[in-house]
Amino acid sequence: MATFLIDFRLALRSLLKSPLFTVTAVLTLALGIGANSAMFSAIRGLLLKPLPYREPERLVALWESRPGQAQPRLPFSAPNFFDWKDAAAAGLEGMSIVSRGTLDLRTGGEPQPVSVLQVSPSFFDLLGARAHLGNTFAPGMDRPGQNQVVVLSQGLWRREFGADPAVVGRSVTLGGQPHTVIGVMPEGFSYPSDHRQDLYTPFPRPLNDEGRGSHGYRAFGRLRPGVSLAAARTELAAIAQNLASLYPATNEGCSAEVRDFRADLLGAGAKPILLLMGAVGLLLLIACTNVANLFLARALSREREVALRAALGANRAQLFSRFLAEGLAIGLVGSALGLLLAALLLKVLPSVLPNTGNLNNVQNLGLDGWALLFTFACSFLVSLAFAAAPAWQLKPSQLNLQLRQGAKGSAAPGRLRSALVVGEVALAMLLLLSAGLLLRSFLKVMDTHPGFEAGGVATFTIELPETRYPQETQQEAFRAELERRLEQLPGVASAGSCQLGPFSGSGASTYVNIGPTSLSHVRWPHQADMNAVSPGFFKSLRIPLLEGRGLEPTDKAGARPVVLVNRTMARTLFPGGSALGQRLMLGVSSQAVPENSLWEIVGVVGDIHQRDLERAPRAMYFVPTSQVAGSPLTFYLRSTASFGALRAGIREQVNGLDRDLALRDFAALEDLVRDSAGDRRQTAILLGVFAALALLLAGIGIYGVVAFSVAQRTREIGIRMALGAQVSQVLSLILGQGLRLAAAGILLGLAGALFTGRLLASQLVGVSAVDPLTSLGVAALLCAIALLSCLAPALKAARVDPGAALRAE
Amino acid sequence: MSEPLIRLESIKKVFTTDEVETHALAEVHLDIREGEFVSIAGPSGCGKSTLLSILGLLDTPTSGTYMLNKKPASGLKLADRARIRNREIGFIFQSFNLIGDLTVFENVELPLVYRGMPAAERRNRALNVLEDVGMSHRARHLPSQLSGGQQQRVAVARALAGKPSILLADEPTGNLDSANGESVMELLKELHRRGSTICMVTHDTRFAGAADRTVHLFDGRIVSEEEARKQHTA
Repeated sequence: MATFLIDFRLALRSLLKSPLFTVTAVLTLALGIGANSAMFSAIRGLLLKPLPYREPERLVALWESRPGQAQPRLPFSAPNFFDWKDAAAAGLEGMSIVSRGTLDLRTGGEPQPVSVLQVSPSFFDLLGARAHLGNTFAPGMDRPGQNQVVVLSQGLWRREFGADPAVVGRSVTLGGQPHTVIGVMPEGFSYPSDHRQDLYTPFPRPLNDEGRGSHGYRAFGRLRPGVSLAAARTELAAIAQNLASLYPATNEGCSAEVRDFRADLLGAGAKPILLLMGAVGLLLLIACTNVANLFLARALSREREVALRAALGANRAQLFSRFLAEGLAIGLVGSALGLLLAALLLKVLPSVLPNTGNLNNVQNLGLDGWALLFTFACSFLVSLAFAAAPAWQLKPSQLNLQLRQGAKGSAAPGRLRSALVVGEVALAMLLLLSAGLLLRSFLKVMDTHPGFEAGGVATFTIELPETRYPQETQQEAFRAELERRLEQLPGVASAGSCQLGPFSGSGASTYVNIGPTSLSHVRWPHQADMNAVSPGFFKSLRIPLLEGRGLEPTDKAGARPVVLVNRTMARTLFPGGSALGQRLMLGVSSQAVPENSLWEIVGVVGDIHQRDLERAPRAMYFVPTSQVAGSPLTFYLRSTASFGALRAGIREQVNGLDRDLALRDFAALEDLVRDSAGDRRQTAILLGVFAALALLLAGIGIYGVVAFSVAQRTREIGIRMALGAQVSQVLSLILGQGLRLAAAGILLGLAGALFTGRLLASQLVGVSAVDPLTSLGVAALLCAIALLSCLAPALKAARVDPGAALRAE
Repeated sequence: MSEPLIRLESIKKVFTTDEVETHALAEVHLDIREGEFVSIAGPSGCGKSTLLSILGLLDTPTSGTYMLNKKPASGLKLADRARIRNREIGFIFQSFNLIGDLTVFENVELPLVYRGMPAAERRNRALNVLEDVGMSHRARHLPSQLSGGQQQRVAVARALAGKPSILLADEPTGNLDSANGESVMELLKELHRRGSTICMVTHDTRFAGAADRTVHLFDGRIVSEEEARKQHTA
C-alpha cells in the first residue's frame, strides 16, 4: 500500500508535467460520465421507475375498439364507460374515467383558470392514493346533486389557499357553481398526464344516452390479482358486444382493448428519449475510445522508461502499480467532474427533454445511483486498462532493444490507435447523421404552411359553464356579442371564433355520408374532422375561399343547415366533380339541427393543419356556430395592437358580459404553431449538442493520432525533405493521413447508418433515413474537422528541419 | 581550368545553445569539380557531417559563400532549397534512411514523385537504377526484409534515381560489416568511374583512400588535403 501511495504521488507529479494530456483525458472522461449519468438517470426516472401507485403492475388502460377500422382504438364515450362500469367485470377491481379540462375557479378575487381532472369516485382507491387532508371521493359522488365536491392538489392548496389546514369543508366557485373542498392530496401525487393537475372533481354520471357516439374520454382499471390482460379483454369484449346489440346505431362493431398501463401511457413518447439515450451511449463509447487512445499514445512514448525501470529491477506488478496509479488519478478527477456535470445537466434536462407523456414527474429527476455506477465503471475500467498499457508492452526478453529503440516502438499500437479513431469517427458520423436528419425534419416541418396566416393573430379561449349557459342559443348569443365587441377594440382588424381551435390540441372526427341514408352512422363510408366556426374565423385566419361562398349571418338556427368543406374533403368525396350544392349527413347534431339532417355544401375552403404541421391536412368540414353552438370557444383577433393592450381590452369586454369567466390560453397563434414542433426541436437540439460533442471528441482523437504520428515520423519527414519534398507535399502527407482515418470512419458510419436509419425512420418527416444530402453534408463536416484537427501537426511537420531530424539518430 | 561544380568560400558555422557558441566550421574553402571523388575525413566532432549538411542544403552556413553549379546556393527560399536538393543532390546516409512503410521500389521513386515526374517515366527510371545497383529483384520488398548492405544499395539507387549533379555520402559504410562495406565502396567507385561526382564523409582510412582527394578536417578547419598518392599541407 505504501508503495502504491508513493506511485500515486509520482503519478500526480507526472500528470502535472503533461497538462495537455491530463486536461484532455480528464475532460473527456467527465463529459462521458456526466452526460451519460444524467441521461441514464433521466431514463430511469422517467421511463423505468415503477409508477408511484399501489401495485402498479395491475393497472391497465381501457379502450373501446373497432377492429379492422382506420382508428381501431377509441377513447370512451361517457354512456359506454358507465355501462361497462355497471356491468362490473369480474376480472377488474374497478375502473375510472379520466377527463382533463380547464374550469374557472373563484376563491374570492378574479376567477382563475385551473386544470381539472374529472374522474370516477374510485379513481384514488384504484391508484392506492389517500388524501393528505380530509377525504377522497366516496362511492356515488358522481350522481347529480352529490358531485359538486373537489379534492385539491397539494400545489393548488399551497398556492391558492396558503396551505390552510381548515380548507376542508370550505366552499369555492368552480365553473360558476359552488363546490365543497373535501380533501387535499399529498405532495407528489398526480395522474400521469402532459398537464398539471390543480384539482379533481367527480365525472358526472350521464342522465341519458346522449353522446354515446361521441368518444373522448380516457379510462383505466385495476386487474384483480391473477387476472391476465387477455382474460380481462375477453370479458370486456363480451360487455362491449352486448352494448353493440343494444345500441347498434353507435356501437355496432365495438369491442374492448385492455393494455398495460405504463406501455399505453408511454406510447410513442419514449422513442425520442430512447434515441437520445442511444446518442449519449455512443458519446460514452467515443469518450472511452478517446481516453484509451490518449493513454496508448502516452504508453508509446514511455517504452524506454518502462524498459529502464525493468532494467533497474522493477517487476511487472511494480510497473503496473506505477501506471495504474495514473489511471486512477485521471479516473478520480474525471469522475468527480463528471458527477458535477451530471448534477448540472439534471437541472437543465427537465426543460429541454421532449415530452414523454409525463409517466413520472420530470421535475423530480435525481441522480440515479445505478446509472452513476455504470458510467463510472465503464470510464474507470477504460482508464485503468489503458493506463497500464506501457506495462503490457514490456517484453523482458527484448529489454536491450526496447532501451535502444525507445519511442520508435512497433507499428501495432499505432494500428490499434488508428482503428480506435476510425471507430470514433464512425460513431460521430452516426450521431451527426441522426442529428442532421432530425434537424432537416424539424426544418421541413417548420417550413410547412399551416393553411392560414398565423402572424398578427392573438387567440384565447373562454369556457361557458353549462350551469349558467345551458341553452345553445345562450352560448351563441354570448359568442356573437363578444365577437362583435372584440371587433370594436382599437387595432383589431377582424375577429372570429371556433369550438376546436387549430393547434390548441383539440379536434374531433365524425362519420360522413353523401346524401340521405338509413344506415347507423358507424356504417357511413367517410370520416372527417369537424369544427364549428363563426363567419369571422376564415377572415381572421385568412383561410382562402376556393369555391362558393363563406358562412353568412343568414346561416342561423332554423335556417337550412349549411357546411363548408376543405379542399381535401371536396376532392375525396367528389373526385372530378364539384362539391357545391351536395348534401351530406354529418355526425353532428345540436339543439338547432337534429340528428340525420342533410347539410348543404355552400363553399370549399383551403386545407388547414388542425393539430400539428407534421401530418398532412385531413378531410375537414366547418359548420356555423349559429347552427351548432357550444363551448369552449376559441377566439381569434387579427390585430396590430400590442399584446398587453389587447389582453386588457379583451378582459374588459369579457367582464362587460360576464365577470365570472376567465381568459384562458391567451397567446399569439404564431407561437402555438411554432410550439407544436417543440418536442421535435428539443430532440434535434439535444441530439445536435451530443453530436457536436462527439465531433469535438473525434477531432481530438484524430489530432491525437496524427500529432503523435508526426512526432514518431519526424525522421521520416526529414528524409522526405532531404529528398526534395516541398512544404506542400509534407502538408498533404500529414493531412492525407487524417483524411484517410476520417474517410474510413465515414464509410463505416454510413454502413452503420443503414441500420440505425430504420430506428430513426419513425421520427423523420419529409426526409429519408438515407438522405444523400444530409450524408454528404455530414461527411463534408467530418472531413473539415479532420483537416482542422490535422492542421497543427501538419504545420509542425512542415517545419521539421531535415538536417536536425537526420542528426537526431 | 573549368569552374568547379561546388565552391565553398570562407564558410563558417556556429551553433548557439544556451548562450554557448560552438564553432562547428571555420573559414572552410573547398572546391569540388565535376566527376571528382572527394572524401572528407577527420575525427568525431570535427565538423564533417556539418559540412556535408551545408553541401546538401540541409543546413545553412552562418557566413561564407556557397556556389553550386555556378549559382549561389546560400540565402535561398525553402522551396528553392527543396527543389535543388531534389534535382542536383543525391544523399546516401550512414543509417540508410529508407522509409520503412514503403517498398524498395517506392523508396527509390520517391524523389521522382516529388519532382512531379509521370508514373511511367518514374517506373522506368527507378527500375533502371535498381538494376544498376543489383537490387531490381528486391523491388517489392520492404527495407526490413533486406540486409544492411542491400539497404545501402537501395539507398544508393534512390540517390541516383534523380540523376543528381553530385552524390553526398555520409559514412556510407559506417553501419555495415566489412564485406558489405567493401561491396558498397565498390559500387561508389564504379559510379565514379562512370562519371558521377561524389563527396563522401568517412573516418575509415581504408575507404577514404578510394577517393581522388581526401580533405582532412580538424576542429572545423581543413587542415590538409591529400590527392591520391600525393599530399600537400594547407
